[in-house]
Amino acid sequence: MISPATFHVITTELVVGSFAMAGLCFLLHALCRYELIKSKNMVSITDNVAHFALLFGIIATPFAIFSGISSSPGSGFSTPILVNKMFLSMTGFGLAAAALISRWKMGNTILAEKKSMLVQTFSGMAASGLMLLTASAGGSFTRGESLLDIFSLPYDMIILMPITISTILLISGLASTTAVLWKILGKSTV
Amino acid sequence: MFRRVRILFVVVILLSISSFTQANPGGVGDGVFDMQCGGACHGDSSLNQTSSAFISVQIEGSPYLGQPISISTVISGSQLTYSGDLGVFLLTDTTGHSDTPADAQWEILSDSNGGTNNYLEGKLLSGEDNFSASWTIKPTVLTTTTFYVSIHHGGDDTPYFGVSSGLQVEVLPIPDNLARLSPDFTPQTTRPLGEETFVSIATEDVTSVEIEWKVEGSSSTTATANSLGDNMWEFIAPASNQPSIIQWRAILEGEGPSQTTPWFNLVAQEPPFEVDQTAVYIQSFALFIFVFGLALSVQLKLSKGEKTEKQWEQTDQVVQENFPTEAPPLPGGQLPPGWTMEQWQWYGHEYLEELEEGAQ
Repeated sequence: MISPATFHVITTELVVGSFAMAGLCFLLHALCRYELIKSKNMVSITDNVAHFALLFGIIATPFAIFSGISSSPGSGFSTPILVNKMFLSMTGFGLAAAALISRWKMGNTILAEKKSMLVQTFSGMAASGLMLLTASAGGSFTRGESLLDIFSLPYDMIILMPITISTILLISGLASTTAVLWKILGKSTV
Repeated sequence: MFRRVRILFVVVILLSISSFTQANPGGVGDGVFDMQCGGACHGDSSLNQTSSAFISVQIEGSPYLGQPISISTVISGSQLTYSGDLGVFLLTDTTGHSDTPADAQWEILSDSNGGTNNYLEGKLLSGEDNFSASWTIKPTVLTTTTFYVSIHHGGDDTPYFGVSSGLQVEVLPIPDNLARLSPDFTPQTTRPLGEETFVSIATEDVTSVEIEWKVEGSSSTTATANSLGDNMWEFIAPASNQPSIIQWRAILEGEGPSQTTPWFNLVAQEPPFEVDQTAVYIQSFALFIFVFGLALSVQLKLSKGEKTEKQWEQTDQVVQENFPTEAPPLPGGQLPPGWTMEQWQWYGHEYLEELEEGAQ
């Protein structure tokens, strides 16, 4: 049986690798659609690779989060960096899941129109960016340095909302998610 | 459907394995715990191996009722260097439950980590093979107690456990006129960085107080405490700009026998980071679900799926374009039996043709 710390390293490597691949493919897809890269094959290749990489990253993310909590020293959130990691990874996870479900349930139509294609690629790239930020915060926590240190990111500051505001946000999110899923599942292309 | 439930079940089990059946190699932080983990170290105590570490325990001070004594321990051994992390318990028996000093009517005034816990966590520094910890405790009743120091540490993928031999302490009644600390005295254990600290001492039957203090690993300095009147005394601990520990003790003089207190620890440290974990979890999940719902809503609004669907749905248009403008003449001025007018408009001409063919 491996320790949570080792398990966390394995899963975070899977998450970071998958999301980096997905983010790159979303970027290439947008460039192809705007004909900055002229290749018809690339359009479908980047679409497929981006979404499959996103799926793989999404599967690995909960394992990374839970093993990270298990392996952190002390009682879980002993430093602001760990709190920021939790916020960043959960936001990235939400964006990634939304991008994947949109593509799965709405089919090619979301990539046919430029506006929805832009939203899709933005969601995918933002999810990737947030996951890479999470990894950078992890590097700062364990090694005291990371590649993104050049931006002097304020990992030591946290924006913690009162529980009431969080609960309102949670309820409104649940309501909108339920409504949207209700509609999407009613017109699935699969 | 059943297949999806099975997959979900497997995922949940795998998630649970990583979080609930593993030890906590990173530790759980200082706290008040019974022996054999008490949730502090390993998930299953039957997995423990006996540690080869050597545990020495020393008691300093006279065990008078309500007066503090100090218990210090040094844990050494090469096996400790495998993991570096170490958990140390101060216990009053080895049964595994109800064995904290509080259970034996002893109060912990301070510990070497700047808290008031019987379980301390520490890390062996690189190149060292021993670890020290200490507690200042006082008895609240006349009793005889046996103290033990127990350790937990990792190494070779195996949890190790060790316990010292017992050290018996008999609490004595306070002699007449003994120069002593007040039973209500609780030493300050922590202080912020970069500030001088005024340390107050409450005493009984004391006429003068000398303070001996030292920074860990250096020689001690002596100073006279200022009287604040009413058996209260005060001395100034110099500011520390780095996290460090000052150890101090008081030499109490009075009309009766004089007494030297045990060493007290005054830890200079950054204020510990504290956060409401429930608020963090709720906000994390709220961010997830809100962003998820928002992104899906935007996509749904922008999606052309509905319009595409309508392009293929042309039944109304076809019906309108082919709707017959005039109905054929009715045979004999009335509808054939069983026909409606709408049916006659669409298919009446076929009926008339069949009728003509039958007549021929």
